[in-house]
Amino acid sequence: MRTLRVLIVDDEPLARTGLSELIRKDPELECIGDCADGQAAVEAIETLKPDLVLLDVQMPEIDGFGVIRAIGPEHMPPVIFVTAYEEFALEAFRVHALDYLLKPFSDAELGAALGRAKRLIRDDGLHQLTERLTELVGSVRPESKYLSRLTVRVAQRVQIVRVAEIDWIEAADYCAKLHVAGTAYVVRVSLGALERLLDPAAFVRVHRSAIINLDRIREILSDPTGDGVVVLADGTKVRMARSRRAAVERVLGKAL
Amino acid sequence: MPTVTLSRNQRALAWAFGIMALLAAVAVTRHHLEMMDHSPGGHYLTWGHAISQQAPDYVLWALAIPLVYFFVDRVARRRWGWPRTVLAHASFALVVVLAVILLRNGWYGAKDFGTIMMSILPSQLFTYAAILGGVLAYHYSRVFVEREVELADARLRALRAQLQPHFMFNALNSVAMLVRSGRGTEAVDTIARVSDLLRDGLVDDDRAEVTLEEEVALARRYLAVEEIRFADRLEVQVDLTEQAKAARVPRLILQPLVENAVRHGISARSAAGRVGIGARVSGRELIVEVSDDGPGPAVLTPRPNGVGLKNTRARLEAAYGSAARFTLEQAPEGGAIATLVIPFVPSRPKGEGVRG
Repeated sequence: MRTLRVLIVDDEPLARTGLSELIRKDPELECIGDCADGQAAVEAIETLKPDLVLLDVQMPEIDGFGVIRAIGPEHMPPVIFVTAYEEFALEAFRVHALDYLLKPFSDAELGAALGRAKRLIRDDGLHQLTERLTELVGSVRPESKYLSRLTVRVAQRVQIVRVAEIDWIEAADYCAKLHVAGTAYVVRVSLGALERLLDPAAFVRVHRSAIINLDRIREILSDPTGDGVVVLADGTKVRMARSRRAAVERVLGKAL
Repeated sequence: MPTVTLSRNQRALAWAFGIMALLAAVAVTRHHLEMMDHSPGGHYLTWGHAISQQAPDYVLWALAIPLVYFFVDRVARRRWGWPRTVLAHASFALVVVLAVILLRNGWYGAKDFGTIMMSILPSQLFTYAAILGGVLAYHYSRVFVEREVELADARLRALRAQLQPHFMFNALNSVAMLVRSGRGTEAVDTIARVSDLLRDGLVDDDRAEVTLEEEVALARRYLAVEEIRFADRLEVQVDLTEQAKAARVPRLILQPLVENAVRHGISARSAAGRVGIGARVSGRELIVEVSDDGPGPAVLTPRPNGVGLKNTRARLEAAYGSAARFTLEQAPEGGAIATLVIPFVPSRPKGEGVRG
């Protein structure tokens, strides 16, 4: 039987190392990485496609529910939520019969949760899990905060990009290219996931492969077919799809 | 029977008016009896006359009581030095007494006024002094009770923060993870730091003021536990001048500010963060700053300027009035900076705690 590839997501370094050591003890499991925040988790889930995610609920910027929302419940691998204490989250897990671990947990409790996850994956009960995750994400009111910064890797450095400073975002394969004042940065998050992490009142998807910052729009040119072109403050022209016109009109609050 | 609920101030005022009414009744009776003794017919002075001659004084003085209370409260909030306070009180006393005399006797020209003044000024000043004494006693008993209540409140809140389920379970989880990795010494360290913090919260300490040094030591114990949790993500910087260390500050005034800095500065982002505590004395003021390099209050819009900070304001207001200032701003180099300015009062040398 093949080993299950496990991803650990927790903002506390001690919790990450501790969990990965425990996972390593189980021959049926393989720890394929650990992430310290929501953005890294979204990147890792999209690129590494783990079989199981141990997901901390409270994290900076994007919390555990935000990760699921960004990935989309239907694409989310099985999850075991890990949380210290949050009445609200616990209630939500209980209601939707999702597995969770309370910090601090004993080896036996972790073992039991991992056992249930293995059975679920083996018996192919993923379909039910997707339903429960969809319900969970629907029941959790979205945190009012949206992503305010992104971390990008530039050569050896990690750079912080303030979301408000992004002019527009372009899809590039499975990644997204952020255009910030003439410089482009690549993040390994799909455009769809990124769209769900951004404040819909500030960013709008104008095309399958482009999201623009509403503050940067200078003019919108449309042609009789319904397609159009958005001209940004720096002169960049971004194609606008006919199918996205309604969404753009909605956020701008006026007909084009 | 219908019950009427009065505020504490209204109750005090009712008492004051009651006492004045009693005094007035005694004075009227005495006046009436005295006049009876001195008049052959015994009907020289009716009760009505006695009342009309004596009561106005008492009514006027009763009406002055709330005024005096308001003034005392205002002056106390200003926190002036002795000379200025005494001068303010003397001027106010003179104004009130003159007003009472004028209202009571009317104006019959400067010459008559001089005569009236000479004859009744001393007794009226004496009356004013008696009222001021009563008002001061009431005022200070109230201030004392208020401070006690606020301190008890702050203690409870600090204890709750230390026992906050999220904080506690995460700290215990750190211990569990350290044990699993075989890092026994660090695990024991963590247990000791958490215990220190619990002890701080549980110890029966009824001091209202401590030195800034003690206050910072408490904040450091809290930060020590958070440092373990966030490891490479939290850096703590403390920078106090020697003079500032000895300053007297309200107990547990720093704790909510430090918690706020950790919550919004460090937990709210994934890159490494810094919490700074700095204090210095400038002229007659102590300036304390708690800073973080998180997104700052302007960026994180729904930064709950929460209960903790509102209480900080209320406590400072109660203890120092308008002499204290508290602000939470965006720091020039990014992040948030909470600034506390209070009158600088050095504790006795050797930094031993000050009994409140």
